[in-house]
Amino acid sequence: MKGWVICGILLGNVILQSSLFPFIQIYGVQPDSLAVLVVSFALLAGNPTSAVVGFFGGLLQDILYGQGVGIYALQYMLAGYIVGLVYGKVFADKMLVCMFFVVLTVFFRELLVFIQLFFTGLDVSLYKALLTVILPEIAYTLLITPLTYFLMRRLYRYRFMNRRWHFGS
Amino acid sequence: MALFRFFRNRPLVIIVIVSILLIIAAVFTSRNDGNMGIVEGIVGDIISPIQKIIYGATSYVYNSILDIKERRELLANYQQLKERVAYLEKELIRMNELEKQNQRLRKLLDFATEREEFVVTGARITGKDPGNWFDVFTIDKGKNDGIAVNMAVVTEQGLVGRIIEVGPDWAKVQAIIDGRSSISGIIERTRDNGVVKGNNLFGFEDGTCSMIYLPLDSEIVEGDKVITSGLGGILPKGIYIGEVKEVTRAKRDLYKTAIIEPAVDFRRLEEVLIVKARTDD
Repeated sequence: MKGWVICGILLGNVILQSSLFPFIQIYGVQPDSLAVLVVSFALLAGNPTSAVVGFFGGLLQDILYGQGVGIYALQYMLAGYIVGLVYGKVFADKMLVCMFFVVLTVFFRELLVFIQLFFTGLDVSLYKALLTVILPEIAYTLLITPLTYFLMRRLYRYRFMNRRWHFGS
Repeated sequence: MALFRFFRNRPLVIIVIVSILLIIAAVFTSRNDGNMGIVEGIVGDIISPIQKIIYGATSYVYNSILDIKERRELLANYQQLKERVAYLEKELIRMNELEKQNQRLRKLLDFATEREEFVVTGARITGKDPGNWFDVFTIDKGKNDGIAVNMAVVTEQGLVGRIIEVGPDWAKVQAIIDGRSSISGIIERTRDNGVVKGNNLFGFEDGTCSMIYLPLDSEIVEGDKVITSGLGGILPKGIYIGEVKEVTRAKRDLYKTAIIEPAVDFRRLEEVLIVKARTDD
């Protein structure tokens, strides 16, 4: 049940991202809704759920728009895993906590993209990337964070969502 | 020891292994040499149906949103155009109105310049009796413009009536078709005198006049023209009234009666001229 719900959320996210978001993008910047979802799962369920969500969510994006399969999956899986490590150690009911980790996640992810671009030999200035893409994306993602996190918290009131998964079992 | 502890942490090991695998996958799949590798081909085979379904769903939602947006724009455009059409229609009506008024006024002006010495002023009709015919109506000029009782009211078509009441800035005009109106007229061809009375009384509103007291030996026929005689000094002489439509004679009457069709179209009166009988008063 939990697996299907997560599948549905990820599919819905991908559909929203490629259908609705082109209409709400500002100067080519779209909110990173998958990052919000991964952070939400990390704070509400911790590992391995958040890492798995990150992995599959990223994989879906890889398949649909990525140039190589694995790049997004790696980014979101790592983000899910790292944020998931704080599960149980922070106050997950606070919206600000979620927003803080969203900022970290988007920043970390974009940094990975930047590093990847750097290694593929593209000459991008970090300053410019920060100004034109990373910071606007963080701001825009923060805008959609409260609603998403609110809905996710509602979802986690259901008992079936709280069944634990275990690594390697 | 540290390595040992690392391997005890199974989640971290899995993450690291998956990460390495993902990096390898990324490196392999992002090589753009145009040829699909075997792995890539298999992955593609698995992926493409999923991709197709998601793409279908996505483009459906995308197009729906686009439709809504376009419909909104269309609606806005439609509203704008509708307003524009309404405006232009109104404008067109106004233009037509002006054009017609222009023609009417030009005719009146021609008439006025021909009879300059008689014309007191032009006036606009401001009110009338309910009903299609102008029996009694008010005009927007009065004493202040030199109008006095019994002055003739005309258009370029002919006689309309006479002034019966005057206020400072308004006057009442009794039309010749009003049942209470009687003026002296003359048949232009035969010079027979008679009295032109209005026929509009108590619902018998056919918009004609009757010319009574015509001599029995009068040779008037249909189509003869009737003008004012100037007798009594009320109306100026020679103003066209209308045309004889029918000549009748009641059995015991000692005179003939002619039904006269007035030249003025009383249904469509808007501007009139006020004319006085003599230039010297």
